Amino acid sequence: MLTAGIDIGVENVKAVILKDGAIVGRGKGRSGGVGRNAAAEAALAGALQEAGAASADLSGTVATGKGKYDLLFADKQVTEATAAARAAKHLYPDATCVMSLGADETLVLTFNAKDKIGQAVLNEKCAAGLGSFLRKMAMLLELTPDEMSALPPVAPGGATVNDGCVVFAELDALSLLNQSVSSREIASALTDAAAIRACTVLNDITIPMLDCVVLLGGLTRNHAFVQALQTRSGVDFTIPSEAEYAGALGAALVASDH
Amino acid sequence: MAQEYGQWPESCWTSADIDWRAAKKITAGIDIGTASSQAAILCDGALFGYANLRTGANYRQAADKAIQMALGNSGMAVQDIGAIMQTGWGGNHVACATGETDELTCHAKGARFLFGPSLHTVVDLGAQTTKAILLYDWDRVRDFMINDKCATGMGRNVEFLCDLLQIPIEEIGEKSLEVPEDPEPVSTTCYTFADTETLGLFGRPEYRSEALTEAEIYASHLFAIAWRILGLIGRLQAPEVGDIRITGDLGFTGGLAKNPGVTKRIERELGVTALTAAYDPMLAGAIGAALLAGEGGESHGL
Repeated sequence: MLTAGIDIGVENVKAVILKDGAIVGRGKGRSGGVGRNAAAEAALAGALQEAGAASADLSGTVATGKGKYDLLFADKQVTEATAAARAAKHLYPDATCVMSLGADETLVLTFNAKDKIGQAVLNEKCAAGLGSFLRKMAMLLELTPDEMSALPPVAPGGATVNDGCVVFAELDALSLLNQSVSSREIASALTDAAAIRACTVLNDITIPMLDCVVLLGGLTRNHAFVQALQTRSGVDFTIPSEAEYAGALGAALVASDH
Repeated sequence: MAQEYGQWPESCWTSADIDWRAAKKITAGIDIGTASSQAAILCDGALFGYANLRTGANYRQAADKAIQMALGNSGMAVQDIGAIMQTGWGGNHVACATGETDELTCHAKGARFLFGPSLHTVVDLGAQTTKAILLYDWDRVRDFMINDKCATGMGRNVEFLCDLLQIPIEEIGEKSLEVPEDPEPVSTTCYTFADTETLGLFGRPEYRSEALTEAEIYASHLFAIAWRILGLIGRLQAPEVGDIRITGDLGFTGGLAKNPGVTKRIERELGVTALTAAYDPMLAGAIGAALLAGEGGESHGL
């Protein structure tokens, strides 16, 4: 059975084709405003091509992500939490906790004894757009995503920025730039601040959950951020190679339920 | 590389008519903002050349590039300029500057140059800060208001939002005006709230109780920006005059001055028609600095 899962995020759209529990095709593209449906169609077409299949072969298509209701061709929508949980359990049956780091949302959830979602915590409104913010700052500092990913950790006594509010953090970054602090040092400080911000979501989970914490989402591609998050949280995350496509994978798994 | 929807075009111009070698006084102003930088060169008080470019992460480099672009191939060199005044956020990085001055005075002077002597209210819509400045009949600041810290970065965020929504920044304003009536504005607190709400407005009508069109979504965001600027204008005080609307004409400067989605809404709410700038309204700071350089003095406007 062939199913499709599509994750319509704020920055990117990801599509996955699933065949008997294995990913056989992936597609990705920039998201957008009114163009989300078209972006999803393109991502799905790419995934189908990689899978060597046609849309007529699909027995179900499920959408997730912030733009899940923008899709004109999905059979069903599932929440981002459901998709992340399904993907994590599929990849790691022992998973006890999932942290999903998207452009817009930071989500943490735990599993109960029945392997269903126990607790789920979403970032507060002030901490929305953490992933997008890092990209915005990379543009300001004229650093590429690869350069952001390769940043060193914050040096002791090095520059820091506000870790509570991105508006203030941006101002701090601009002040540092005005003091001729290097772009890379400022970027390290911003990365660390974002990690601290993400930790606040993790800290809201009260049930012990540290055995197997699966890290998902597009921000996992940023190694410097993941490193900072591990240092700040003390959690040793498990990161699948499918981390960025996890939402789409979870949606495709839901599609294969029927 | 994907199209950068949030990028506005850089520009420069150098006069072909003015014989700078015959000029008695040549001065320049350089305004290094967080997102954009400008240079303006004046020959005996007339605009001879200007440049408007994206600042990037190196203020010194931006300043050098701006002045070189403004000089163009006129044959004039930096050494030929009698005085160069720097201003703006990064206005302490300009290697060739002979002095520095504050942004408010520069804007007041530069705006009078751009909009003419009838101008009394300047609304500067920058990348990080928004300022409302009230002027006396002469080039002096009477009162001013700057956005509070939480409201910083609204201009820059429009660039980023256009990139996220994949709508060219030069089109979002016009597009937002294609609405029969303005919808409720998104949050007016900070750009994080505003963005989250704006991104959440997209979606198919059958899933939403109040479906908005594309134009209405842009309107909702830009109206929120206009609304907070109206608050600044409203807090300007001129006790002798009372209502600031009767003190005279209004002009918009800065990057968002080119966004009719913001400016038209401010004009509508105030019931006024803004003056038209003689040159790029982003040049106000740099022209003001060049004028102050010509007066040989530092800031004296506050």
